[in-house]
Amino acid sequence: MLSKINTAVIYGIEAVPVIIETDITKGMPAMNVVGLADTTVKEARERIRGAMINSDCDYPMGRITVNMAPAGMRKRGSHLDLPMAMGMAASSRQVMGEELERYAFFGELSLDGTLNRVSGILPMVRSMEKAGIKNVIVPYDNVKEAALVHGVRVYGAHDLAEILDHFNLESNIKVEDVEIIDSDRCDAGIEQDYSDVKGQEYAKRALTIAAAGGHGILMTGSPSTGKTMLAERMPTIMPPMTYDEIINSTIIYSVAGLLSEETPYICKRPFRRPHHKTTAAGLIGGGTYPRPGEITLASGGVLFLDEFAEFDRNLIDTLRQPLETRNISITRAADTFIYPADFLLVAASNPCKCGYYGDPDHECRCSRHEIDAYRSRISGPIMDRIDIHLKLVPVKYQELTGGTNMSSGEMRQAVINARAMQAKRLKHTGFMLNSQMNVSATGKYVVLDGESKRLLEQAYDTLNLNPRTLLKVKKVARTIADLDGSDTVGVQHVAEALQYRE
Amino acid sequence: MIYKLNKDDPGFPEMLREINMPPSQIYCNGNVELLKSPCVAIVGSRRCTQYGVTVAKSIGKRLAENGVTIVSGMARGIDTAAHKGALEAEGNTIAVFGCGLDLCYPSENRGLKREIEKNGLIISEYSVGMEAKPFTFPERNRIISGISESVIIVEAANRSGSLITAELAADQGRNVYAVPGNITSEASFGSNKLIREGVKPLILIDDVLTDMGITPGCEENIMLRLGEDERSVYSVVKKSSEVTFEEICAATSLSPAAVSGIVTVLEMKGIVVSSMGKVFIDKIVY
Repeated sequence: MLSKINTAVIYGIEAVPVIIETDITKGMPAMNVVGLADTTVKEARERIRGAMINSDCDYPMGRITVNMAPAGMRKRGSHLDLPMAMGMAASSRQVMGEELERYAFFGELSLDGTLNRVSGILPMVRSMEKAGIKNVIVPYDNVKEAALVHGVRVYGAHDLAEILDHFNLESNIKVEDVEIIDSDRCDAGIEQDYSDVKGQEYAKRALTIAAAGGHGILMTGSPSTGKTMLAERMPTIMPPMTYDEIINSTIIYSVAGLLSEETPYICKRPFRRPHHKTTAAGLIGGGTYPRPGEITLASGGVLFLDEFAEFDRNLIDTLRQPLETRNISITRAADTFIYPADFLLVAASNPCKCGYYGDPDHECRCSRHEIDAYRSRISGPIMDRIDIHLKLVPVKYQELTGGTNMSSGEMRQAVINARAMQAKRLKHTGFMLNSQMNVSATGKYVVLDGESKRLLEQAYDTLNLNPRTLLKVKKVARTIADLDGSDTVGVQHVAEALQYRE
Repeated sequence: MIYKLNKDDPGFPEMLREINMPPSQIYCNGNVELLKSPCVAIVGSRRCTQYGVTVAKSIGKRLAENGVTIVSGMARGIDTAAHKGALEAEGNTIAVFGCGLDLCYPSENRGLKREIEKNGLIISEYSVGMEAKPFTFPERNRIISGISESVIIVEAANRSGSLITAELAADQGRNVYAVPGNITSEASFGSNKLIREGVKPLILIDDVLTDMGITPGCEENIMLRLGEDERSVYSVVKKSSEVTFEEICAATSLSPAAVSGIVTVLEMKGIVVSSMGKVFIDKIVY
């Protein structure tokens, strides 16, 4: 008898619906899987056999043919265990088949029939919802992730026997209540706050501007000036994630297999910090079966590149395309995948090899040549894409105790207000933030008043600007004006923006 | 165009002819008339601090404004700052090379070299194509002090090449000044030592002019050009000549945003300079 079971496979970071057809005919006992199945899928045979036998079920005797349609696409993933087992159970009439077509199945089987969690559940369930299938059976551990998709009944199953009983009407699997995103979970673990960073109000101001306008920022300073502390707190001043952003981030993490029982979905802005010895595939994504890289994992959040000058120059140059287009396309033999890469770049670097150039308390041991060589390691084209250059100096003891101290809450509110102004202004342009504006949009939306125009003209000559830095200054000045709630860019905004030039 | 002046040519500077072991010829490119003008040398360390740069530039500018030609070696650091100060004042400057005039050492000063060729003069005792060698620099130093009436040492570390220049200049009977520095600053150790040994400390730039018999022109009071906030930021910077943005915020109770803006404006007015997260005085005012 022939049966058809709905499931899906991951393609890039999207999911494609797949139908598993199982036919059992008389003949020598054998099982053949056709339809470009990967080794993990072919190995499923042994797991299915063990799971069925240990779930009080018979492993069908006969010639079993499993076809996965569409046949032209390569299929991977242990989540295909369960749909294959269900197909075999249906074809051997061990489960009633009427309801099966209205369900989709995902899950990896253990030999004892237990269902194990799998990665990529969210995009796969979403693809089912789009295909009009309203019931999904997923491993119990994956329920919270699957429940993010509206309009689908999610059944969380512990083992194969439970599922068979459900369809044979012996007992029902409980439909998990659709969990709305739990704000406690989202706030938990945000112990970090900018009020922990003392005596760096000037730096905090620059970071607020960076977060408000999405401007890439490079912090240069000797060791223990607080570069890492400042960078780590960056997500705490970015606006809370919207539902769509949560879905998009969770999809990425789901496909990358980085979700767990503790973090079933991503509702805190990602903060990724790849090591400077990471490979190109690790940073931008890749591998035989392309996996999202750090820039994709940082999408919607912060990509922090510590020791920026230590990164391989070619590696950093690969960031040029994603910084412009906010996504990355990866081409492998036959397929091209486009992954999102909409991250805020925060880079930190020592000023020189020994780290103490310009430090008042330590002597720099580098020669002029070494300092120049160290600086030139950071490629020019990337420097051009970093709008804010911030120099940090060590904090004095007195500054650790007294003075004003901005907290993340205040800074975040300023960022939210400034972003609202940008959203209103850039509504129909396809840009979201000031940093994304191109030359013509900058000309159109950065309205300078007479005085600030004059200041910029003078600055162009006296401070040796070039057209590129001029463009960056205009964009940053626009963000500063937004933080100020001002529609026109005033002279004080331009003057401040000039201070963050290279 | 490069041309050669032999020791016996009438254009050859008189003062240089009289020194111990004068060069038998010098190659020139630029305005040769400058060799006849009153010259002051400004030399110092390659590895200098922001303070040294500020001082060298200010001296170069002030003296050049008053018609003095600034002589230096176009090396990194102090030398470069001195030339730039003179050029900024649209004054005269002479660069003395330790290599042939077709070459440029250090190569990053190619732009400066072109500018000095155009608006000043470059000279060398070495013929075209001669590369810089360790011994050519001390030899070059005797020419720097040889054509100058006075020599100013801005920053010199212990055992700096500038100390050799100071010694040569003293032997040649030139007026030698040393710019005092913090006794905690390694970069000023050599120049402070010169003062201990009896070299005249340079306290007021105009002293150099008066010693040469030049009456210094009036200096503009920059305080008049500044707004109220600018003045308060400026006075904080002036107090210690080197402050962080945080310190300015604390001392003036202005927001970091406001301080950034004001510093930019002061920078454009050429009064302060910001570097590595700190703000320095860029113009010496008494």
